[in-house]
Amino acid sequence: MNFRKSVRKKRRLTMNKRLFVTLIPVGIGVNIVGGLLAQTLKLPIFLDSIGTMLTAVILGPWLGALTGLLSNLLQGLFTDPINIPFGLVNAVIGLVVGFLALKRGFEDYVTPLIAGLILSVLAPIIGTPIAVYLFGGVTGGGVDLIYTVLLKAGNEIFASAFLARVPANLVDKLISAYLIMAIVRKLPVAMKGYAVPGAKRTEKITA
Amino acid sequence: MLYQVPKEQKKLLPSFPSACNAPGIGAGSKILVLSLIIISLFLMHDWRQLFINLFVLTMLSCLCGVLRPMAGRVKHFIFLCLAIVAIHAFFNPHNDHFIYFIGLEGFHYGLKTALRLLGIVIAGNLLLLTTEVTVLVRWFGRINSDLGMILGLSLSIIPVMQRQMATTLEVQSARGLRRDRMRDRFFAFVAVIVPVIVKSIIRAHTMAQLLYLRGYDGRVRQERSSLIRQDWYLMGFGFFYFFMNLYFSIHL
Amino acid sequence: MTIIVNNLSFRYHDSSVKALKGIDLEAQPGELLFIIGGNASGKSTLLLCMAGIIPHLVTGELSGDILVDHIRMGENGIQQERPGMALQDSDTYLFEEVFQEIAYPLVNQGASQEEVSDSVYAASKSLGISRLLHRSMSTLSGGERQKVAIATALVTKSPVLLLDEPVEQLDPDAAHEVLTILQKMAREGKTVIVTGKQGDFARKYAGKIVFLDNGSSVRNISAAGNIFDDNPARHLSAPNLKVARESSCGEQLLEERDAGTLSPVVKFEKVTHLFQDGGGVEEIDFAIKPGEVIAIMGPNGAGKSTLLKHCLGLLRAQKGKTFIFGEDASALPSWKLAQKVGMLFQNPDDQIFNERVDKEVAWNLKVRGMTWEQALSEAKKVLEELGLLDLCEKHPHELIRSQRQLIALASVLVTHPDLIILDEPSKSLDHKHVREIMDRILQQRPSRGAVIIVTHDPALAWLYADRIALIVAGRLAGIGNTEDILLDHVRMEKAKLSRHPFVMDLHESNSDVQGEY
Ligand SMILES: Nc1ncnc2c1ncn2[C@@H]1O[C@H](COP(=O)(O)OP(=O)(O)OP(=O)(O)O)[C@@H](O)[C@H]1O
Ligand SMILES: Nc1ncnc2c1ncn2[C@@H]1O[C@H](COP(=O)(O)OP(=O)(O)OP(=O)(O)O)[C@@H](O)[C@H]1O
Ligand SMILES: [Mg+2]
Ligand SMILES: [Mg+2]
Repeated sequence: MNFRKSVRKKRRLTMNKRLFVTLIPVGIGVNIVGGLLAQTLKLPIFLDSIGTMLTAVILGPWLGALTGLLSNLLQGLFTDPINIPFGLVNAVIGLVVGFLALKRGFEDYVTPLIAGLILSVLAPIIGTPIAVYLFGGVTGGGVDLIYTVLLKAGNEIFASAFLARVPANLVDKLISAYLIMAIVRKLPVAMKGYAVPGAKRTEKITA
Repeated sequence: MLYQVPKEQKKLLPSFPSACNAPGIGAGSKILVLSLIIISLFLMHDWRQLFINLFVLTMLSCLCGVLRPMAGRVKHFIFLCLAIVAIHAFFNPHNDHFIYFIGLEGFHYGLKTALRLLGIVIAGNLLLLTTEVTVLVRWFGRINSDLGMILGLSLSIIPVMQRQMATTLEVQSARGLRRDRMRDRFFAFVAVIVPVIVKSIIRAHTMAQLLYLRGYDGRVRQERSSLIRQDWYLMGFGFFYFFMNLYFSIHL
Repeated sequence: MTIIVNNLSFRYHDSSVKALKGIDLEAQPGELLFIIGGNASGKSTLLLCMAGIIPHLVTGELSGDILVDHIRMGENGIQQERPGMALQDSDTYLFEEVFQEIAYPLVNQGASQEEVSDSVYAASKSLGISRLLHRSMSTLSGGERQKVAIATALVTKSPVLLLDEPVEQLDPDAAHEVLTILQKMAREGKTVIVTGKQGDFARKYAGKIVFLDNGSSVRNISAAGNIFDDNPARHLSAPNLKVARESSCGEQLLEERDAGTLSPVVKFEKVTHLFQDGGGVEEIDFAIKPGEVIAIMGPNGAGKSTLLKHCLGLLRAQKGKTFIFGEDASALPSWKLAQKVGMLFQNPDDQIFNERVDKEVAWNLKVRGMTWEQALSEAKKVLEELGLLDLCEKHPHELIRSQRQLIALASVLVTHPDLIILDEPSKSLDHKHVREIMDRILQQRPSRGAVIIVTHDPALAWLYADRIALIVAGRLAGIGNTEDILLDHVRMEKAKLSRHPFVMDLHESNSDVQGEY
């Protein structure tokens, strides 16, 4: 047990403190490139927060959250400034994934499931008020159809906008989380940062 | 001097995060005015006031000579705004009064939201169209030099990663990667994103070494920015605009 | 500044063996010190230690010390002032624009705008890249980028210069220029340390040569004597000229080929592809015959890599056509072309994504519809042939770059392509490795296929190529038998190859021969 701790401490030390200055830009880039690649390959989901998740796994929750905020800020500066407020959602993704990775690593099959489930509720809870205030809940996509149906059934604006977002988020966040798991597994140990899970991996390292 | 430096090349220097000053109105005062405009838009709840604001903002972009690019950026929001108005007019649960089948309460709500959205979009793009992204990034660098460096490096690494993605897609195609079926495409996503990520992380490590070698130490190397007269005019306008709107928001 | 390295050892934290084992070394101002050694001999590690990046940014077990002007180097590198250094990986840079990239160290030192512009222009002019200052880094060719990296090291005027393989991607003329500049700086009193895999350049330009073997034995060698006769260093030098070249084609194939019965493997028909801001290829017109090994040579930024991409459909010609085995390449998707063409790209890291070496190699078969089991056993076979079997279970990214390059090669060979393309194999591999892989490729090359090598190393072409195609400024500047091209003074000069020590020796010995007759 003690031994494991020391290995883990050693690994943290190997990540230089100042490395975040160059790793966060990489996370931001992965967000953008991931979204672009999903479009290029005509995948039916966004996959545009995997960079946030990745940085959160490697650098911990707070810098992960910063990556989320900044990546929306930059996307806002480049294309639509209206993206900027949704940086909050991205930041929360970083926090959740970061804390989970700190606690349990991110290489088993359960953690991504937990992350996906939490995020599929938490992300819309943050995103919906912003979307309702800015767009009246309409975002110009397939989700609007569910939204109108829910409105028509007599639900409140907030409730409908929220409920409409949950299914899409569930799929997107679950797939993103599992993708991150697959990617983290394929990373060489020296790059995993905080993603070192428990004993299993440690034994592998020292063996 | 070995080589006569042409004039226009000296302009290039300002794009460093937290290095030297750009000429003209500072990004700081522009951002201040933008936030004042957006706050006043949030305070309004009368569609006439929102409409007048929208008009003023459009005139302002006309004045700055960015009407044409602005139209391009606003274009795809028009459809969204129509959708907002329509959906709320027909389906808003608070609709009590109807003209034919159009709910008045929902229509109002939709109209206000749509006008506010357009206002925010125009105000935001006004800043972007009159200020270079690099200048904005430098402004953030003033707050904190690490932040400026992060944003500055993002600006240079994003094109690299896009190119890297294209290269890796090329290379994996050259190895025989296919992408016809949905399953293949998810697989292709992993086959492309993993090398891109791994290479970018390695790159991040090397970039940290470069930063060290080039003498970056995370200290703020500030140059005092001096406000010029135009800055004061602009800020004066911003506060005037804000208080006018505040007055009307309360009294309408 | 005098730099003295005393009994220096270093082990990377995640590695079990020491990268440096008790190095002693002394570098005086006024002399150009060359550190040469093969792959993984610890050259880069040694320079990183001198720059203070180890232990400041890269951790591990460090012992021994480095004295700078008789003061022990502290945690923060060489006193307050950072050395001017170019890292080995010149593809990594900080800013998009070339000007900014070169100017950044000066801006950080707090130089005024005037000073910055002047120094940047002076440095870039001396390296011949002042016309690139406003290009963005990502559109430069490999060699151009390397020159930018060297410029960033030169611009700071620091008394110590550390350059990690500064000429590995440069054409011989550019290499000559860079090394001459470095010689001059050394003469002006700077301490200049350069690493390299090639003994040829060291012999010609160095004031002092240090040979590094497997991180351990350092031997100081004087530049004058014929150093490469002693055994361990031999593989670093160009082959002896007297070594007979083997003809790589079978006799029968040669006859058939000359009779014109076999259709060409690749046929470029007036291929033109020009980029917006200059560069690209124009009206390239030649054919590659079955069974031959052809070398494509030419200055940096001439368009060699651009041309090769047409063979795989990664670029489509704006004008003209490329035929692969008689089929129009622009009409076929890349994955189909990939069944006949295998390309070893300049950088193995563009493609490696599996977490095990054997899976990485097998993946090429897997995507062609083979089952994992079959694919893995095929992969094992190829890895065994290349002598890499013991790496099977490793993570590719935990290997050194030369090994990764070999793995990328294995993944090319596993599908038995008819046309094999190597883009600058000697960039990251030393002579020994290059010759190993070339021998391997020539052994199992299908008789009707062909091999294309892009290289700046005339020795490599001399050893293996049947013909050489010279590309200069996007156009074909000559094609012919290896001997004819390499011995042609005018052409060599035009292709900026005439300054390579090997070519100079070749011309010299040839004129001797002519004199005798
Ligand atoms: N970041 C690293 N982590 C672990 N081991 C490393 C690392 N970098 C290098 N090594 C190891 O240190 C040894 C020396 O490597 P180094 O890069 O110094 O060699 P080199 O002489 O520069 O080789 P090349 O000619 O390929 O550039 C190698 O065995 C390598 O495996
Ligand atoms: N995508 C691109 N956009 C714009 N210019 C490009 C692009 N790719 C290459 N170039 C330019 O085209 C020219 C030829 O580039 P290429 O990479 O083919 O050179 P090369 O002959 O392989 O040189 P090197 O020996 O340095 O690798 C260069 O001047 C380069 O700057
Ligand atoms: Mg090296
Ligand atoms: Mg090239």
